[in-house]
Amino acid sequence: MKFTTDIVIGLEIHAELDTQTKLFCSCATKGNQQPNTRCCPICLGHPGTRPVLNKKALDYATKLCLALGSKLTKEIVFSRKNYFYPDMSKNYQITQFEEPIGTGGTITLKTGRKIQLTRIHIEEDPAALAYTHGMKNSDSVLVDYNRAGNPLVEIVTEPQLTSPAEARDFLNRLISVLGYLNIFDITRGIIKADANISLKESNYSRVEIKNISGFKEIEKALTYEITRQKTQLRRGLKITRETRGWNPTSKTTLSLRTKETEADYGYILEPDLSLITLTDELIHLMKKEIPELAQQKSERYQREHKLSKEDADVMSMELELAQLFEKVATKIDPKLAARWLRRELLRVLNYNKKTTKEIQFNEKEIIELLSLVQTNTISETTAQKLMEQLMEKPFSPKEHIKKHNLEQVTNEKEIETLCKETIKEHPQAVKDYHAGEQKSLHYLLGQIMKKTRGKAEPTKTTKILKKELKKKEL
Amino acid sequence: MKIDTELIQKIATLAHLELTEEEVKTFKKDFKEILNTFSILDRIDVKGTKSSFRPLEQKNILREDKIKPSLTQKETLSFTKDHKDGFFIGPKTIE
Ligand SMILES: [Zn+2]
Repeated sequence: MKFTTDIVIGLEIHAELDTQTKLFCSCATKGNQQPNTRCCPICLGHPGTRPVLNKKALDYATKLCLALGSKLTKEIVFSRKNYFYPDMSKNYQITQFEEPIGTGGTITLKTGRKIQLTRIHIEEDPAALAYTHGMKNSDSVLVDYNRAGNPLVEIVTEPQLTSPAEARDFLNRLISVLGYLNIFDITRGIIKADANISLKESNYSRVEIKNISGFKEIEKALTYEITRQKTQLRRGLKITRETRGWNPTSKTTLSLRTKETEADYGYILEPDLSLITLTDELIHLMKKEIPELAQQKSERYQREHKLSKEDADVMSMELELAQLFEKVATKIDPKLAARWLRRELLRVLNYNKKTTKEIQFNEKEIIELLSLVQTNTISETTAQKLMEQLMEKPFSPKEHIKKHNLEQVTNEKEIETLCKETIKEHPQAVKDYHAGEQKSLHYLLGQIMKKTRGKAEPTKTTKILKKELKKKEL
Repeated sequence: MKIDTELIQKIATLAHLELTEEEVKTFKKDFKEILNTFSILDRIDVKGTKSSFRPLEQKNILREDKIKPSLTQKETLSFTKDHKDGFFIGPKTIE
């Protein structure tokens, strides 16, 4: 492959499919957190047991391939990946090797650049390992097979990402698709990744990083590894092709020195599973279940509601937010709605460390609040405060402002009186303003806002205040 | 296929086994004999025969996504003597 960019990144993303039961047995994928309570002879790998594929997992993976434009295989085949490690009781993992469920596909980034996918395949999650005295100092490991056998999809990209920020955008977009398809539980499921990184300066010598767990860690690991390689090169050292592990505690990558290559896994076809044909009927059914996705929504918002690309992208990225926006936009000017949902709702959510899934109020409250803004009944400051309060406990904004007398002061006579009063009370500021001090105007405006608890309509107030100040000048 | 010490050692490493020099010698001899025996199969003419990976040609066996009771922790751990606080105890993973 011929590279031209300074940084080349490829990702292998593992996401857990949100099914009730494991990939090859009927044990629950979630629930009891006590170790080894969701296991059976199949996921424990007892001899003589027989795995049977979960139909839902196949449906979900099929849907994902269709949504990402990945070419579906006609026959579903699984293989055994042989290795001796305590996280797999059978000493092999059932995965897809020779023929993945999907080949190719794309994800379009914020910039419009398309990232090609190599493949999408289904496999089982290994067990969770715990170390009593750290990975290096423990004499043994503690194994919990609750997670072993949970269904995963692995999405492999071509090495086409050019920065950690681009990798983050890629992940955002992938998670958006998984969310829209309702096949991944973002509040519970963890995104795991292996990454390969190479720099132009080292003639694209490829380094792999294994076992990065969690969305935020992926960007951190990539940033660390790029810095490490650049530092090495600046010192005149060579970058060796190797596999490294990400240590989330020390925030560094460490050489793993594994000698295993693909061939050493000794893949064989899994003989215990029956051959499964992906019928046109199933594909047709799954196609019908795919909703309008974020990218299409964004394009539609720009076309129908004349939103900016940025606003449209933010509104469409998450299904919950998009649904809220669409409901609000039937009653409120869509541009105003997008601006408020994007700036204020997301600001308040971030502040409270909540996701859009956790919003307790619905479109009714937002529509009421924004119609008060749209009709100039309340000031932006008041509306911002109400948005914060709504997050704590839903209430009717209309009744609330009546009860607390929060309507915006728009009556010009009233504003004029306020301006006159303020000018009288702050002679020094008036003097400074006349001497050309612009800051004094803001100071006087601030005083008026203080008097009215932020209720004075700012445009009118500024205009009238200037007029009144001019009178004083004469 | 060339059966030498290097190959035996590689297979042993992948299987996490440590072999003495004596054992390597024995395995070298055994490996050769086993491969020789199976080489008879190479003489069979399989032209036009479809490969078969499964003992039974069953198709499209799938399971509904319905939870069935798992084993209890006690039952699960009863298959081993190496367990602690509900966990299996496994071998060290890093040297
Ligand atoms: Zn099970």
